[in-house]
Amino acid sequence: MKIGLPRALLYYRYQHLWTDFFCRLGHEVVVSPETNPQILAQGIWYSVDESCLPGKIFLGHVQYLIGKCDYILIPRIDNFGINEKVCVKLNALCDVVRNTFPFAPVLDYNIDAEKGKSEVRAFIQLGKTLAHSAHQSVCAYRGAADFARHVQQKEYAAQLKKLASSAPKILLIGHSYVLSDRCAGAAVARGLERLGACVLKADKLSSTLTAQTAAFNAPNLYWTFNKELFGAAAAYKPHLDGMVYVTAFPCGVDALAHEFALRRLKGVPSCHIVVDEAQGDTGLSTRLESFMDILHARRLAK
Amino acid sequence: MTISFPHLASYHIPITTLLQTLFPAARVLPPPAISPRTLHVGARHSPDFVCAPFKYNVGNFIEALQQGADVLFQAGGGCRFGFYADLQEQILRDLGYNFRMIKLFGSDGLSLKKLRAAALEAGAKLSYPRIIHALLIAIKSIRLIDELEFYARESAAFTSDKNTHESLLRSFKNALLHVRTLRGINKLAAQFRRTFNSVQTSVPHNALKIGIIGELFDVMEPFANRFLERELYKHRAVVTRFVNATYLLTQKKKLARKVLQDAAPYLKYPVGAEGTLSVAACAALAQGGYDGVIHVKPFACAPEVNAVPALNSLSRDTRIPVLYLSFDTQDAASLGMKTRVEAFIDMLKMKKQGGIL
Repeated sequence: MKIGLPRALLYYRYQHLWTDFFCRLGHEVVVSPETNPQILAQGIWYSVDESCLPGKIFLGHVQYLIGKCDYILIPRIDNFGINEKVCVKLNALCDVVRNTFPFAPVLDYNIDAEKGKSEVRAFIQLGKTLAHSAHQSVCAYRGAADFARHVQQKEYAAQLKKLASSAPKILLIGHSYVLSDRCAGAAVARGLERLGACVLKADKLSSTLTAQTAAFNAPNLYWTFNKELFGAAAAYKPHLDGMVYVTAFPCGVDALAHEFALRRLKGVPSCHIVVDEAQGDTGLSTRLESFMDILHARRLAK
Repeated sequence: MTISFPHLASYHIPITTLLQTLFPAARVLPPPAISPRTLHVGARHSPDFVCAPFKYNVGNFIEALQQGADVLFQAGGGCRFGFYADLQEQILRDLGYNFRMIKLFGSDGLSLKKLRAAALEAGAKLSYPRIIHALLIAIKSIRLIDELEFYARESAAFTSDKNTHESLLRSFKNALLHVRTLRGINKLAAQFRRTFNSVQTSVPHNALKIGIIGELFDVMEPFANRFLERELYKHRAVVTRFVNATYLLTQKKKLARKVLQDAAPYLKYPVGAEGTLSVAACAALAQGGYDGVIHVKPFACAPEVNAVPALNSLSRDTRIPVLYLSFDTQDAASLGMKTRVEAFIDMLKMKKQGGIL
């Protein structure tokens, strides 16, 4: 079977888990290309106006995959446990797709740990739809999860090495699907690197460490992804020259969580950048340049 | 000690009574009624694209603090509501206010223990039966408000004098302010049920019937939807809505599964907050022979945005027209709403007369 993976939203978090899981079960995986203006335009066309930018991009990728595979994987995540929630956008992804593209071959799994639906059970359900036994699915899931963890640790280690760099170190705080998407926040990292900064990403850090720091600094924060970002920011603050918060318009969770972080984590120059579907990069480069100027001036003053 | 809390429709009446019973030594001061100034102040100190209820809450808190409040109550809930209190506390502290914030509801719901601990801290030693009694009074008042408002909504457009229901509701709420016992509420209920029944209404058999669905704050708080219901009465429509405090406090958990079933086949999973209910309610309205549905939400409200594609399919399948209204902080929102509602009503009338639609 050919399984389509839309390169958007949760893909950036689960890509290794998903591809490895399906490969182990003997399926072929088709991934939509990096977001391009065409995919973005399609996404905007099919989305509700007020939907967030990553949500719009997601629909563009789904539209691209229709007809190119047997199934399109669209997970539904509610929570990973008590006080471990995700944005409600992810509660409804597959329902949004089903209603927007009535003929899309949606393959979904449901994680709702509060109600006993853990990730393993979700993957068993997923395997069942593809006619695999629970045993096969569990084995494939375990292997894939190990592999994904291994990759994550490697990325984490690579990022730690960067801390030794002498260039101004800037931490990007934003969801992976914003920071890594070409039509969303990828331009921020590129722009900063061009200006000579050493760019670190908050989504590429050890999640156990960040969970601890988040629990200490923001005990009532209940969005798992934002906890990790907040924790990473708090943990890495002493090593940083600057922090750049990146939000996609109009992300309500970030509106609360990033604002909270901006007000709580003082002492490091911070800048908040909002990316939207208008795709103008002049405003972005002006802001990044002036931010870098400030950092350089600070360094000279020291 | 002066206690305050954010506004939501006219529920400040039972909440004031409740808090006054729990904290007899304190002064309970509801914030000044929501005005354009509240919204301006709130929006100025809130993140740009946080959902509008947050901005109203901040505006309420600031106005209450300016009047001398020093203890603020905030509830919590699903979606983003649960994190409101933390960020609002931080924002108000950064503004230099000195106060205490009490978070009463966790995402796990109301807890008697928390309530008693808070009362104890404030110097009032209350027994559990006493607290339960106070809560019962609050819930009963809320139910009564919702019942009378529900009734008024259906016939407000058809009284001989246009403001009969509105002024009746106002005098009911004024009377409710002074009631402290269950028996008092029962008496009030009987009295006002009778008065409402005695009002002459003549609902024509072909009156336009419109249902309101959507996000709870914007549906319930008249200022947030720029007095949408009053506008609909002007167009002589029967109005109904599903979301009210009675639903949220006593029915939501119980009905969760049924609501999801009613939303099928348009939804497979709950889409967050009241989004699922919006779809289920819209299906019920279509089945109940309603002429149109108005969907109300704050700008970029994720659960309701999630529900929109399903509402679109539902509207296509059952031929029930749906008008989508989003509200944020613009001053001109009221005019925009009136124009769109007027056009919507015109189209519903044409459809009803078997016209071109």
